[in-house]
Amino acid sequence: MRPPYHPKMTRRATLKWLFAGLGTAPVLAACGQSTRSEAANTDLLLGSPKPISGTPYGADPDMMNPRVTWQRTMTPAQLQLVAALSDVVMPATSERPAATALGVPDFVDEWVSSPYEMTQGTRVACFELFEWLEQEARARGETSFAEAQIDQQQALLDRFAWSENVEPGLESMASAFDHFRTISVSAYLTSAEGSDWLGYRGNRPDTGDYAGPTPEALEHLSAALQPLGLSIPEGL
Amino acid sequence: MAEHEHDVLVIGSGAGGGMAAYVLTRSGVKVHMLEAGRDYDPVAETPMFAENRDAPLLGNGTPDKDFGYYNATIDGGWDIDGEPYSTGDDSEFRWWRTRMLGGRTNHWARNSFRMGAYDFKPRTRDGLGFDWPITYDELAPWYDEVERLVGVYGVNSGLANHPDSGAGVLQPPPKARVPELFAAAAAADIGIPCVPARRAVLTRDPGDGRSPCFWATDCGRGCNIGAAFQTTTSLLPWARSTGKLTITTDAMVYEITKGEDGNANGVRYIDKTTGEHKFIGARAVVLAASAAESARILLNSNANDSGGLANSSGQIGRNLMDTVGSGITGQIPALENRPRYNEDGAMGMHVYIPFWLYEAQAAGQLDFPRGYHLEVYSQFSAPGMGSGSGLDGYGSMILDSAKRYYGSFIHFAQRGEMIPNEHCYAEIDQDRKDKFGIPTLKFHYKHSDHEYGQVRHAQQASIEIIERMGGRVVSDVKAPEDAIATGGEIIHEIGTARMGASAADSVTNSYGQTWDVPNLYILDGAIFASKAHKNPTLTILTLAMRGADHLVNEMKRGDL
Repeated sequence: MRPPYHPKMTRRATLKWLFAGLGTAPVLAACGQSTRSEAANTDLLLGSPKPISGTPYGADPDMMNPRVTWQRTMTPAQLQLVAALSDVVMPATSERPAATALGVPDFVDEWVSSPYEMTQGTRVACFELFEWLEQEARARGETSFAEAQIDQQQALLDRFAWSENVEPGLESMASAFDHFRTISVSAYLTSAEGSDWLGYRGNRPDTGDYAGPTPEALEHLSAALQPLGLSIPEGL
Repeated sequence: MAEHEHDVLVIGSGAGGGMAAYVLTRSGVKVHMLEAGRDYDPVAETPMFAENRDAPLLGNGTPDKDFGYYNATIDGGWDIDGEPYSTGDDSEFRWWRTRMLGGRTNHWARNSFRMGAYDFKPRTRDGLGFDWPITYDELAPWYDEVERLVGVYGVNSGLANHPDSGAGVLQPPPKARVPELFAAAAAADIGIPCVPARRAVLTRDPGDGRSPCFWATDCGRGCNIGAAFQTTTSLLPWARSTGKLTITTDAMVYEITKGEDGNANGVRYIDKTTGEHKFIGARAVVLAASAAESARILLNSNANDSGGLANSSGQIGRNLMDTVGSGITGQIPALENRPRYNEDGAMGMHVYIPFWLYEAQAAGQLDFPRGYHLEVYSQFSAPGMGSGSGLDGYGSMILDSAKRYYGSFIHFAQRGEMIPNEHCYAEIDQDRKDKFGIPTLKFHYKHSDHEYGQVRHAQQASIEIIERMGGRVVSDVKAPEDAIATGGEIIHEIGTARMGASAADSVTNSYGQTWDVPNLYILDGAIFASKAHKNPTLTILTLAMRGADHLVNEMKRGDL
């Protein structure tokens, strides 16, 4: 059985989370509907998420001290499901850690909890996906998705995760999963470890002229151009 | 004429207002600048080196900050709370504004291409649109002066209608990145030039306190070392250092007032910090609030005449244009898994594709009358919200795919000339006021086959380059009518108070001096008579320098 996921505050340690104070103050009108239906539904297997709270960060946020101005809203059971799902999507390998090790579930929670119309569609779709996965997992194995065996988790994803092979009737799950994958993979690659692994080498100041491509990069380019009958242009 | 603490009021602190204030104060003229937005200190407020992961939602754009959390657009964007605008039936238009000192110069792309000889006489060349009352040759020395002052990297490529700068004016451009070299090789092979871009980014120490680029940190956030040009690190502090510039921020101007002598005598504005309506007098007024906002102020002025101030020609608000925009993205297998290195460089583009078909166009071989350029974008960019998109399936292979494809996409952004037409204009929306009680703008906009034909050509050229690179097109290639950017979206809106040779059909002379009100100058994008494919800011700066110099001379001569 996988150990429970604990939110990782370290990844975004510079963020100052805003808990008390704002309470449930202004909520976007667009959120009203989903919030109401979530609150009214007591049959959710993963529990009722908290309503969206907090405010958008506004048109003049403090750029030097970034701050998330809303609370996370996923239930503990949703968070455990997201942790398991993230690790199926991005498992550990010999050269990189699994998604949960980089705090990916926390970012999914931040995204689906944000008070913007643009993220609310994702919230509804993702919560439906999570609930469906939980329902199917329990129906098959009598365990939660989070506690299911990896092959059972994969069998569920195989029904919609590959664009060429979506089970009829599960198109909305496929679309929700695509959102989830974009959010979770982006969070992974944007983390310090993920960014290093991907190979982003910038955001480092240098003096003098821009160094430009390394000899190795130019050699690779030459080799790429050669079969196309092209060569590296002069003077650029 | 009444005595004032200052001589000239300048409305707006962006490219036009900043340059006007610089030229005027250095000539000893006392200037009072009014800016609708808040004060802004780029030294203290620019999030240099801040990581996307440290911003809410990985720094992704939201309706609060459309271009991302760290973008140097404050209290602005496509929509501003309480400051609406509307569009006419069957029209779409988007209006990007900021409400901050320095305006949009704080975040612009810094692309700085000179207009050329053809661009100033387009009607003479093909019978469409309007000629400017000025030639390229007249403006060339002013361009040199502006480029020297601002700091622009690039080279003299000697191409038709892409003028060379004076000797020693340009700064050396940064070396091309790998995908840029690849695109240039492929383009050259099919007869398309690809040359160093020109951007207002210092690559040499100008010796004025600004530093050359240190090859990191997105220019769109602003630049606290002053390498990427913005008025808040250059023209404004330089003008302030003369002791002759006063700046009042949070001053929402809504009217320019006129005395009995027919001259402008001051400005009414709302002090946003108190809500008070205030009047400030002046000997002359420079209007540079941005093309659409300047038109709005003029149309809302002169209550005795519903046509607005300086509008005997009826041209204010008309001739609204924006750059024609579209884009095609390709994926290049040969660039997959390429060796990593730091590709930030000057953050923006190092090379671009200038329009190369002027001869064919003049010979009638093309089905569109005006040119475009292609901006080339491809690099190992900082990971962010988009980094996880476009994947399929799950499991360890998806991260491997993300890594394999990283830096293998290339985007060609078309930026083309639009021809003015009678369907494109801004007017006062009689039914609507903003939160200050100021009547708002209503935009009308329509493209024509001139623009659609150009989009089709740009799409085809981009596809040919991608295919020559051995790549595949990954963007949806839409019909030109659907592919073209909505009016205003390229944020090059201009033309709403065009200059011309005669008071009958234009608002200003070639100096931006209004025909009707001699001590009122318009020195922003409003005065453009045509919208060349070249990004407008460099030309706004240049016209503002020349216009402000003219104003100084008029004042010295006692004519104003």
